[in-house]
Amino acid sequence: MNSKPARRLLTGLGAGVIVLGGVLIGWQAFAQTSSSQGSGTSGGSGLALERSVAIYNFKTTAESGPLRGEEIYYYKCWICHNQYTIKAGTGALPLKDLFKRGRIVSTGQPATNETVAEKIKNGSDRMPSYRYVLSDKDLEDLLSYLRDEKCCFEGQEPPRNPAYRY
Amino acid sequence: MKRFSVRQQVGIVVAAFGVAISLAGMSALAQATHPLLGGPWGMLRSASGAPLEGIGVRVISSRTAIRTTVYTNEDGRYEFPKLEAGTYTLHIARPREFRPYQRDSVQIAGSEHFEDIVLERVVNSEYLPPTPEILAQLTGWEWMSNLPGTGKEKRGFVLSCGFGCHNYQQIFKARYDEKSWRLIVRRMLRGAGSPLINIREPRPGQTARAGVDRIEEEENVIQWLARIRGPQAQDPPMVPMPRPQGSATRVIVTEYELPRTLLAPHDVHGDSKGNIWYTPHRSPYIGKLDPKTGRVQEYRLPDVPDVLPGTHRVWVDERDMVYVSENWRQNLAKLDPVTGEFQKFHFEGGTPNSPGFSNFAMDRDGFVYETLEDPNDKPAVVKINRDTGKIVKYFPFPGRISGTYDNLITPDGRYWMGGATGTNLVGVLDTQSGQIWELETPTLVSSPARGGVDPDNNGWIGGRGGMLIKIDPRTRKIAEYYPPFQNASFYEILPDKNGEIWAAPLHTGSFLRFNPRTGSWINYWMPEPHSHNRRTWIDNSTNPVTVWYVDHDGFMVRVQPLD
Repeated sequence: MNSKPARRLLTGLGAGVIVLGGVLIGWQAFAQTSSSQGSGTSGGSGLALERSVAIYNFKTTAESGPLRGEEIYYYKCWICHNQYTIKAGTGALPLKDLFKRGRIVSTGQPATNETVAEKIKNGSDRMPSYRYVLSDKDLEDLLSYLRDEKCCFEGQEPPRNPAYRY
Repeated sequence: MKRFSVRQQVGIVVAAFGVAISLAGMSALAQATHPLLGGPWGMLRSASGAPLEGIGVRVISSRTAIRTTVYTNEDGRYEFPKLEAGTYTLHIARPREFRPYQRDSVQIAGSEHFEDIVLERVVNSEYLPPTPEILAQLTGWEWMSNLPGTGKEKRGFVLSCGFGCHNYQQIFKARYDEKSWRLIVRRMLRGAGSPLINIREPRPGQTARAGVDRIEEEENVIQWLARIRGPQAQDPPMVPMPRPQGSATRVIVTEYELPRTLLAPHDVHGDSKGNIWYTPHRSPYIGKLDPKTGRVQEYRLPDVPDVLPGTHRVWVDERDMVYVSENWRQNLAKLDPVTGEFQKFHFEGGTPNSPGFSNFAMDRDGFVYETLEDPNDKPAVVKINRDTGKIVKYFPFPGRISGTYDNLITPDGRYWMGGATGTNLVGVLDTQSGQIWELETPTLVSSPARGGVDPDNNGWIGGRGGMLIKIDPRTRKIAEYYPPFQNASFYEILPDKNGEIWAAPLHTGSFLRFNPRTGSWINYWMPEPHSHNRRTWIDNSTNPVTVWYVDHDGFMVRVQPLD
C-alpha cells in the first residue's frame, strides 16, 4: 500500500469524522435547547408553584370554597372549637351544624351568613376579633365550610393533598 | 501572508476540530464529574447580563410531583441530578427580589442544556415592597428582622413563641387589637402542649419559656404584638437576607408531597430499605415514603375516645419495627410494617391531651429511654424494654431538673443526656453508676431542646435560645456554638457520622452544617422559607451524608450536599 495516499485517505476520513462529530454535537445541543423548553415567562404573578404562597394564603388544599374554608377553620377556629377542648371545659361552643341549629348561642341571633360573619369579625370577651385578619373572601370560604356537612375538622381525617399524585 | 498547502490546511482544520471536541468533552466531563449530578443544566443571569449566584432553580415532575432544586454557582450555572424522563415544570424557587419565572411542559430525557434563564428585579432597590407576593416568600427571620422592636422584645418573642408550633408568617401577617392578642397569647402560652387543651394558670413567681415570670413573659409578647401588629400597623419595606454563595450552593434539595394537608408532620426516621417514616402531630396517619417514587403508604393508629390523635417521635429499629410516641395519649406504639398491626404500651401518670410519652431514644440493644415519673412520683429517667413496654430501671433526678424535652443515649447505653425547657439546665446520667449531674450552660436561657450523639459519644442539643450545645458526658464539660443568625431558635440538631452537626434554625429557611473542628458554618438555603424542622434523620450510608426532615408545614425534604 502506498503510504502517501493512505495517509491522505486516513487524514480525510479523520477530518470527516471530526466534522461530522462536531455537526452532530452542535445539532444535539440545538435540538436539546429547542425541544426541551416550554414557554419561559418572567413576570406576572406566577407564584402558583411557591408552596409558601399557598401556605400564606390558606390555599394548600384548594383555591377557594369549603376546602379552603377548612384550612382557615384549622388555623383560626379549630384550636378553640375542637371537641376535645370543649369537653375539657374551656367554654368554647361546637360549630358543627351551627346553621342547622338556627341560632348563635352567645348572641341569640339567627344564624345567617351575615350574623355569623359579624360574630367572627367582632369576637367577644373570650374570642379574638378577626375583623382585621380575615378578608371578605376568607370569610366567604370559611362560612361555606361551616355550612358544609364535612365541618368540622377534628384531625381524624385530614383533607387529601391535591398535589399528591398517587 | 503565508500560504498553507492543502495538507497543512486539512491539518489545521483537523487540529481545530480536535481542540473543539476536546473542549466539548472536557466541558461535558466537568458537568458530569459529580456522581450526584449529570442531569439537565443551564445558565442564569440578570437582565443586565450578570451571572446570579445562589438562585434556586426547581423542576417539578408532572408524574410524581417530586420537586428538585439546585442552586446557581458564581458563574450562574446550575445542574440537576439525573432525573426520571418525563414532563416537568421549571421555575425559580423563592424568587423574592426577582420576578417569578416559570417554564411549563419542559421535557427531560437526559442531560439537556436548558435555554438561559434571565431574571428581572421586582424593583431597582435593595428594599423590597411589602406586597403579599413578596411577604409570602420571606422567612420568619426576615419578617422579624424588619419589624420594629427592642432586643428584649424580640428575644422574649423568640423564646416564648419561636418553639415551632407555627411559623412566624402566621403571626406577623395578622392584625389584632390588644384584647385579641391577649386572648391568643394567653391561650398559646397557658395551654398544655400542642393541643392547648389543658390550661395551666400561672402562679406567682413561676417562670416559663423565656426564663422570666410567666405573667411578665405574656405581657411582653402581648404588648409588642399589639404595637407592631395592631389593626393600623403597616409593613415596612423589607431588607432580605443575602443569598447563598460558594459551598452553600453545592446542594440538591428534593421535596416530596404527602397524601394529606393539615397533617402538621413532626418527625422522620429511615428504615433499612430506604423508606422514610414520618409522624403527624394532630392526626392518626403515620406514613412511609418511598423516595424513589414519592409514593406514601399510610398506617392509621386506632382512635382513643376523648383524646386528640397525634404522634411525636418515630424510631425504626434494626429489625425495621417502627416505634412512635402518642404523646397526647401517653403511649409508645410499636408497628410491625409487615402485618400493619400496632401494639401499644401505655404509661401511667400523665394527663390525657397534655404532653406525655414523647421524645424517647433507643440504644444499640433496643432499650428505650424517656423521662417520666418513678413509683414515688419523682421525675426520673426510665429504661424500657421495647418489646414488653415494661420499665426495667428508674434513675430519679436529684433536684433541679423536673423533666427534659429530649432524651439522648449513647449507643452503648452508658450515658443519657437531656435538657430542660426554659432553663440552662442539662442532665447527664451515667447509667453504670446511676449518678446524675445537673449542669448549666453559659447562656442563662439556652432552653435545650432536641439533639443526638456524635461518633465520639458527645451529646449535641439544639437550644431554643439560639445555639448548639455540646455536652461531653465523661468530663461533664459543656460548650455553646452560636450560628450566623441572631435570634435563631433550634428545635433540634443532629450530628452525622463525621461529627458534623446539621441544624435547621426555625423560621430561617436555612439548613446549617457546622464543623466543630474548624468552627465553620455552611448555610444551605431551603426552597421554601420555613425550615420548620422538628427532627432530622441522617442517612450515613451515603457519601456525603444525606439529610432528611419533614417540614411541619406539610412536606418531606431531602438535603444532599455535594461536598
